Amino acid sequence: MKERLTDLYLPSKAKVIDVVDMTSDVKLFKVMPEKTFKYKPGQFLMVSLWGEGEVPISIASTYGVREEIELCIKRVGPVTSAIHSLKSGDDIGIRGPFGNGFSVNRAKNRDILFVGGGIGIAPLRSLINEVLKNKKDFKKIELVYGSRTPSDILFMDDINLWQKKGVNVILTVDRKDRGWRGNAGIVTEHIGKSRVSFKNAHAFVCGPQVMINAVMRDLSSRGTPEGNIIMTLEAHMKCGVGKCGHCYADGKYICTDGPVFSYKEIKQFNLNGV
Amino acid sequence: MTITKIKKDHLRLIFDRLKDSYKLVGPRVENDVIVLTEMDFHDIPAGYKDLHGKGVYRLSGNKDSNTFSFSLGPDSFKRFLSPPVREIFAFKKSKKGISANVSSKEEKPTAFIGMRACDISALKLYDKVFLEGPVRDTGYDSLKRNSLIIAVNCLYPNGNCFCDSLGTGPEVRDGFDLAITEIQDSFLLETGSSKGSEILNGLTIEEVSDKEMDEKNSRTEDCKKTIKRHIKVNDLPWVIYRNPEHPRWTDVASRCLACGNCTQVCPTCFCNSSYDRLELSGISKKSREISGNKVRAWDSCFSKNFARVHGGNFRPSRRARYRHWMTHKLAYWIEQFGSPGCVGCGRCITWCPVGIDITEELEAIRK
Repeated sequence: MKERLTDLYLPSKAKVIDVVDMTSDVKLFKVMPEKTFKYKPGQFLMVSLWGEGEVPISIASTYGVREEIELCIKRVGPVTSAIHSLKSGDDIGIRGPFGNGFSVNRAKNRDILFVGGGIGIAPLRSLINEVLKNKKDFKKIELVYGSRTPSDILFMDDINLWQKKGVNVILTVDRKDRGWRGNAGIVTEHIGKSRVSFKNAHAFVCGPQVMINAVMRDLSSRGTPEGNIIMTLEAHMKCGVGKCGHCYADGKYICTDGPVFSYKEIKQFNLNGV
Repeated sequence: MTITKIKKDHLRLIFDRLKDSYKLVGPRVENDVIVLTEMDFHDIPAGYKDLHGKGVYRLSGNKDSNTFSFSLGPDSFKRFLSPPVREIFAFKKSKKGISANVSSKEEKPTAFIGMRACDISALKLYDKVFLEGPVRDTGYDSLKRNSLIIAVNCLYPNGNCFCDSLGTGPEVRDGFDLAITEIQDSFLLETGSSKGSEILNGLTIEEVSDKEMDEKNSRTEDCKKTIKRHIKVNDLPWVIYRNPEHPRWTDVASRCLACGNCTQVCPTCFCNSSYDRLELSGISKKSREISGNKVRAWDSCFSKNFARVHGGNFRPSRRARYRHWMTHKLAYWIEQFGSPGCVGCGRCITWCPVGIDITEELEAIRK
């Protein structure tokens, strides 16, 4: 058969089966791919709408937990705005899964600390549910999660379930509202409340660049080894497979060498934003 | 590899023979510039000389009786192997849902005429970018496999050439099907593949005398001696890694226009973007149908939005973008692919509207 460029770029179809309004600018899309595939937490899909464009979106669901794929998408630009206008029954194009994904093997028999900010909870949710499938393999499991306001907190149902399963959750918001009795301030102000043993723990971090940088430094100063501080990075991506050059940073393709890197690698390759 | 020779006026016969099975792409003068385009034997800019300086290019004809005394124009062969704009598939959205159609055009194989050593080295780097890694770029692969490379050994470097410093030229060593060296009375021909030898079947080819081999070697040596520009590579990539905050980056950013010319003429710059192209006629409001194409096109790391994500830009300043480009060329490549991403063709120096010279910039950050 004649090989074509399209092998890289031709998406397969997926049908939107449900759309959940999560906050004023975030929706959860449940999609059923025409061709099913295996995926790991931390991997992403290139999601496309004909005539609108294509964007990288991390997978928020966990393989083996549900049949459908869940994509948690914040409305930030033209493509994500177009995605937000989708309804059940609409078709989207997907390519992937791409990226290395998280690996929790090294975290076995240790404490795990998840630190999320805003929409950064989406890929962590995939990983948390994966970890909870084999909860006894790990010691303490904790989550520190920061949001803009109480109404911006995502996956509250999951958070309640995680707490029931024994995950210690620390929530914090940038701006309180009347009903909020919980923490305020950025996540680094509350990491200290965690009861994990920082020196032995494995940390998984996802959120805005500034938060990631602050959390890496904070955890490092608490004695967490740099190789155990793991985060997933965001970058401008066009192909997802190491051929377009957009996400190239300091000798690494974020799409194929990452998007999951350790603080050690980030320091070594100077990846966190030049 | 065997070396033979043909009489000067027999070169035309090779072209005639190639035309049967290949589309010929090579140098031709258009608007006072040597470009690469579909061409034939009579289009070769024989006798033309091109003058290159920092941000300077002048072409003049009737300079000598040689066939190949000109050097490089702004085009490199990436224009044909990874075209500037390429349709990937056509799509349609209607009430019935979405669909995509791949238009597969059967293309005639291409013979690339007059490829120089630097550009052949650049293609080797393209192979690493597009064929290695987790996924192969099948589009590039099929175009490349479907092509024939007729190389020309450089004897007259231009003022911006520095291939010798990088070991990428001026002589072609491998990666070609047929290589031509012009000497006084004939063309010496080296075959680099069976496809290359086939072209010569039936032509009146003669043996090369020792004297002619000596002439070839001394002309090549003379060529190396006339290369004026040099780049020091022994401390790469470390000299760049050690100097991310060197004041020269700010200095070059104050001159750089971020126009991206360097990335378009560079034979190893490969960055591309893909986007949806809607034809006006492809949008029907009434039936709510749209149709269009997914297109892949060259992009440049000098464009402002190249590394933009929602909420921020990883390289908002020209300083960061120039540094990224040069560091990619002269440092990251070495770690990723084992050799610099620069082949010393000097195009970025010639076609920079403000005459920024990568060899000078590298030297400056050493200080």
